[in-house]
Parts: sequence; C-alpha cells; structure tokens
Amino acid sequence: MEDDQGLITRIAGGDRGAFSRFFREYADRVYRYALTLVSDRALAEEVVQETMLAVWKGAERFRGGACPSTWVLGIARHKGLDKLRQEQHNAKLQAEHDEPDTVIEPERAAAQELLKDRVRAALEKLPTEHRETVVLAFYQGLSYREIAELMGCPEGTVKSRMFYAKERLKEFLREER
Amino acid sequence: MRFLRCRKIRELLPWFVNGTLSEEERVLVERHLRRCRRCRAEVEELREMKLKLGEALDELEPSAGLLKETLELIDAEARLEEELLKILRLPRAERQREMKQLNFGLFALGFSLGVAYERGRLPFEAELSALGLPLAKIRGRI
Repeated sequence: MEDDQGLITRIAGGDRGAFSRFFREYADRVYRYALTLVSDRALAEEVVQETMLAVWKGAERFRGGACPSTWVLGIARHKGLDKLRQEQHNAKLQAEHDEPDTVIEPERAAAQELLKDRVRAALEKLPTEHRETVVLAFYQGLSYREIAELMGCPEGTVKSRMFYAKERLKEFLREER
Repeated sequence: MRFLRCRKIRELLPWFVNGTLSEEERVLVERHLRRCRRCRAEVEELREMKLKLGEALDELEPSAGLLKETLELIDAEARLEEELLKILRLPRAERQREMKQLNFGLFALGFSLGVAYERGRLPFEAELSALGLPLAKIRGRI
C-alpha cells in the first residue's frame, strides 16, 4: 500500500489517479476542519476544492520530511481563514445595505440545521482558535507540536487554548443536558 | 507543589488521549495517573469528549460530486494555459490583436464582478469563463 508521501510525489508528476486517491483520502478531513473556520457547507466545500487545487499545483514544493496531513491542513487553514475574512466582509456589507428579514435567513437556517447536534452547537460557541485546537487534537489526531506549527503559535499557547476550550466545552455540554 | 505538577500534567492529557505524546511524556503521565484520581477522571472525560466529537463530525460530508468538479477545474485551467501559450507563440501582430481581445474580456469580467460585489444584495451563482473555457464557480450577491 502506497503511503501519502508517495502519492504526493506522483501528484507532482501530474498523475491524476494519484490525485483522485489523495482527494478521496483527505477531502472529508479537510471539509470537517474547514467547518471549524467557516459557517456553511458551501464555503467549506470551496475550501476543500481550493486546497486540493493547491495540492495539485504545489505538490512539488512538499518537503519530503514533513507530515502530509499537517501540510494539507496547513493549506486548508490559509484558504479557510481567507474565506472567513471574506465572509465577515460580506456580512458587514449585508448589514450596511439590507433591511431586516432579507436573504441571509435561509443561509442561517441551513447553518442552524448543520449545528443542530448539541456537540456541534457547543463547538460553535467556542472562539475560532479554540474550536480549531480541539478539532485538530481530538478529530484530526495532531500532536500539540504539529498544531503549534500549523497555527504558527508557541506550543504553550496551544496547550492553554486546549485547556480553556475543553473546560468551556464541558460547561456548554452540561448546560444543554 | 502537587497542584503545579497536576496542572502541568493536565495540559498534556488531551494529547495523552489522542496518543501523540512522546514516549517520555507518556511515561510521565502514566506514572502520575497511577496516583492521581482527579487526573484519571479527567482522562475519562476527555475520552468521552473525543468520542462525541468524532460522532458529531463524522456525519458531515462534502458533496459526492466535488472530486469530479475539481478535476474539471484542473482540466479547464490546463486548457486555458494551453490557449494562452498558443497566443504567445503567434506572430507579433496577431498576438497583439488576440491579447487586446483577452484584455478587454478580462476587464469586462472584472468590472462586472466589482459592481456586483460593491452592490452586495441578491445572491447569485455563476460560472467564470475565459476564451470559452469554464474556470470556476462564483458565488456572490448582486
């Protein structure tokens, strides 16, 4: 069974089959991570697509010694944060131009539907960086060192974000019981 | 002293639970857990949290057609690159004529997107294309 580094090498050589395998392997993970950054499914799918396009175009820049999942999630983080900024800017424009009760409602309803599960709702209440840390550790299985590298912050910051995030999560989950 | 030690260990517990601590850290945590009931309870809580989080997130999946769309986008970009290269290989006068057309097309596209973006009202979804080739889907508000 070929490992992910081998797949990336083949992608760098323009192998579409390797790209398709890589996509199938990582798209769900990238999508779930993107949903910790942006608030709706369509934007999260755009993050997946842009991340995978960046993998296709930039596979030759992948450093052999690096961990493929940290590399992919790092690209997804940049794309996701761009979308988040864009989303915030659009929301601001919307607030400036719109009267109440306009087109944003169906989107919010969809987002609510997405977050109906109480764990997801509890996650949604956390600050973005705390939510990211919890998901990267508990769902993506990254070490605190890898998370620090990915988020570009000291290891101590990752530990303290995690510490406060899990305490808040416990509280939210208790409140909703 | 005991409190400080406990707090330091507690910071490591999430990564003890996800199995990514170094060997040295893992041994340290395990040794501490043998004698600290509070930290053992914390580990149980974290395991439960990890499990619940996994169940909640596993339900979320991107659309089934996303891979196909992405491959189409890759093809479209490759075709566009090819077309541009063709233009660049043309004799100078012909190339300038083609480039003018392309510049005008790109300017018109940029202008309409800019207007749509600034007016920011009704949602729209369109396909961006150049030289007759689809490049990307655009979502915005007019």
